[in-house]
Amino acid sequence: MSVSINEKIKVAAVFDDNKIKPKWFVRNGRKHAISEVTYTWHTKTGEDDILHFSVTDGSTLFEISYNQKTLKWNLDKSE
Amino acid sequence: MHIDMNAFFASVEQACNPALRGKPMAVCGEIAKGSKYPRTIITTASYEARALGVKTVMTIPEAKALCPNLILVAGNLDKYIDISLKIQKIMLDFTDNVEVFSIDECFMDVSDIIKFHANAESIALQIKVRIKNELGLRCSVGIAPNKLLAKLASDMKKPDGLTIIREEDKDKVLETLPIEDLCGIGRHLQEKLNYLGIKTAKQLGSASINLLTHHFGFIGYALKQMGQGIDHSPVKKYDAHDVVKSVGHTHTLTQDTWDLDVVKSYLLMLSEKVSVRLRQYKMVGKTVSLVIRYSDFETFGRQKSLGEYIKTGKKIYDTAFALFNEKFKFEKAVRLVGVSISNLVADDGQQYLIDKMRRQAVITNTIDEINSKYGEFTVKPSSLIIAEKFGILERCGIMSKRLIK
Repeated sequence: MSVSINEKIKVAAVFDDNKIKPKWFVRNGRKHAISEVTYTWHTKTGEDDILHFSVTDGSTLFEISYNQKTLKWNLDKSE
Repeated sequence: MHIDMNAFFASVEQACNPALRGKPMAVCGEIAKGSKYPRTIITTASYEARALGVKTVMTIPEAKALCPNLILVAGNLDKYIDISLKIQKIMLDFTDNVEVFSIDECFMDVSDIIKFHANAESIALQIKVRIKNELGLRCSVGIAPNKLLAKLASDMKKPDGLTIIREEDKDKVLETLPIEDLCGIGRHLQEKLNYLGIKTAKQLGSASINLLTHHFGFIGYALKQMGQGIDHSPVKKYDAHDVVKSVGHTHTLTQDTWDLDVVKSYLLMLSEKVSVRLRQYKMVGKTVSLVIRYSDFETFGRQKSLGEYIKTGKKIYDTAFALFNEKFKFEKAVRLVGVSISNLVADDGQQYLIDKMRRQAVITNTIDEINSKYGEFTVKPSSLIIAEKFGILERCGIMSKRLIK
């Protein structure tokens, strides 16, 4: 079962051709290079559009999300 | 054409998480803090788990007994709805004759677009390839002259099937087909038909109409047609709205409770959720139903019809709680509560002359606007905090078709 985290994080991402590709994120001072984005989906919270990414650094699966209104990244869950 | 996603929720989770691929896993409700197993059931099992006997609606201990290595994943309905919408968009690239049957099933009428393709099979193959390439998911497709047979065809080969039932094959398929394989014949109907000696679709199709109508009323005519593989119902257009007959929410508590304040708080939360959806549909209703499941799984439902149409959470709650006081005994701990409203009509946007009622309408509209902008329950009755502290599990279940279109 995954663990809910819900923490703001810093993410480096490439915005390319209307697509967002997260490349790495920093949590607790540790940089996690994203080796694969395994899935993406979209939800709405009120009027905010949230893009969700299931990503892996090669060993752990994380769920991160990007709020397209506030432009903030969040670490939602990890395995 | 009928498109059925294979083990949908489980397949989405396997696509998301490479570590789950090829392994027996199942999607279930969220695990409450401190409990060993979720208080929910298996929502969907992967094909690897199904091979070991794990089935939908099994309890977690039942599933674990069959498959001790079973990996459980808490479902994420928002994710599944978004993927369902993406699948619908793929179909809509072909035609707008797409009828959403459930979160993981759609019918398509391709008769208008077949002239642009080699045949229906070629359209089905293109859809299958796009769903696989764009979403990493497999589906089974059934092609037939009508919806009843198309659904039957898609069920014939899973996973990743493509089955065609042609008009000339129909009799052969129906000859030995068990009646319960026909969409619309549930367990109770099957038992009644079996009691009359009707076990196959062919027997149903050739049964006397007098016998069927005597036992099942006007449904007897539809049953006979089903047995003959006849279905005249059209595929609805994607933008056609289904008639909303009732709106309801249920919630399994994180743990059984004897605390009346907790039950009241959940009732209010559910009533508020029901009222928000009712107002989204621009409807009002006058029959409120309450469902209570006790710790021993005994479940009771009661309803009350009012003399007026209502739409606010407070009025729905007042009626539901009055029902609870009048009709239910609090002699066992409560496990699940559910509130729904039916007997719906379109809200005529009545203007209130009484100042107090007008003010209440303004407050309700303002709260709806705030919650729609900032998210559900941003502004809420303070007593909902009791339910929040007790624990609210994420939803994981099937929901209204109107919300998945």
